[in-house]
Amino acid sequence: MERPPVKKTEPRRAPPPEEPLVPADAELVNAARDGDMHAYDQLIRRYQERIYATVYHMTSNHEDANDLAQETFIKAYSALKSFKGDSSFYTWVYRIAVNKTINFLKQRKNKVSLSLNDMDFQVENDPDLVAFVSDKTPRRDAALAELQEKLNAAMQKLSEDHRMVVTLHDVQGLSHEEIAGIMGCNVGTVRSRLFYARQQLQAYLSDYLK
Amino acid sequence: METSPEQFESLQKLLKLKRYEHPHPRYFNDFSSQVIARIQAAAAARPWWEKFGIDLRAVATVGAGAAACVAFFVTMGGTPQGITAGGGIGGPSVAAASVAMPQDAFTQPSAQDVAAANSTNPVINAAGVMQLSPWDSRAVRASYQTP
Repeated sequence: MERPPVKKTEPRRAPPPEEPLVPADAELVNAARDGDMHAYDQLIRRYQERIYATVYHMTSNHEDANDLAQETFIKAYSALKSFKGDSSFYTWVYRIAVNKTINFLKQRKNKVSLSLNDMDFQVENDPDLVAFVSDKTPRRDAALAELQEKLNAAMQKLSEDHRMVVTLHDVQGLSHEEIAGIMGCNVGTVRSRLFYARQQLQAYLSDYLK
Repeated sequence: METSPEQFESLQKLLKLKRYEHPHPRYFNDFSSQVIARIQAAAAARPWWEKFGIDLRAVATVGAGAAACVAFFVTMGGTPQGITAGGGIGGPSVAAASVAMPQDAFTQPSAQDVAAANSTNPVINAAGVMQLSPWDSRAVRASYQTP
């Protein structure tokens, strides 16, 4: 009597580890609108670094950036009821930050006071940046700090709109389209501002550019 | 302003420097809690009517509008037809309108009205002549210019 062939069963695979569900912005926005502060806390944590960095690169001042970034999220919370979801929360909160910062800078006018953050120690391992200083001085950190100050001073010479496009595109890596959405202008305007701003920076920093 | 492609490339590399600028490592640990604390402090400092979602400016606007309406009707009280009758230039149609209305109502108050006149109803004085506002006076004069 022949035994029926035994079916080879596939070894049981362990179920994939459950990934923690990351709530979408829209869910968190709805919850925050209903007064859920934990949801709003999550939204803040999601965007705090980018918002802070934008404001910081615009002001070159840590204290101002801290105040403006906090005020941006406070303003966003109070205006949450009027957020219709036409754009993403990310774009919307960026727009608040940009408007707040530009208003602040217009009030501050030309009273620039630099309060720069320290540079990450990894900067000394970046070959592109080390190339700027290696042949000038053996003390890279001091030379990089000087370069940082010159770069920030040059950025502060740009108009607010030009500085904003350089910050958002060249420093933070946003696309032209995203910047146009945030700044409320068309892509062509973003491109022309970027072109002009780079020309200005090249002129201000010509001694340092090879 | 002349710039070379090499300079452009060099600038792009230099701008990378900005990406290495960071606040101290623990800066973002309590950033959100500071924001939440400021939101809650602002909410606690709000006056009670705002906590209940009452917009005081809207209430004031509605109240002022209601007061204006009440004042208007009190002023116009008892002579609602006066405006209609005398609102236009004395022409045939106006004349017809004024003729159509009981003109005696303007000059000859009814016995009931006279009887009702007292210190709390000063619209009709003791002589039985209506106390009209300037508006009403103009309205009455116009209504009497019938051909």
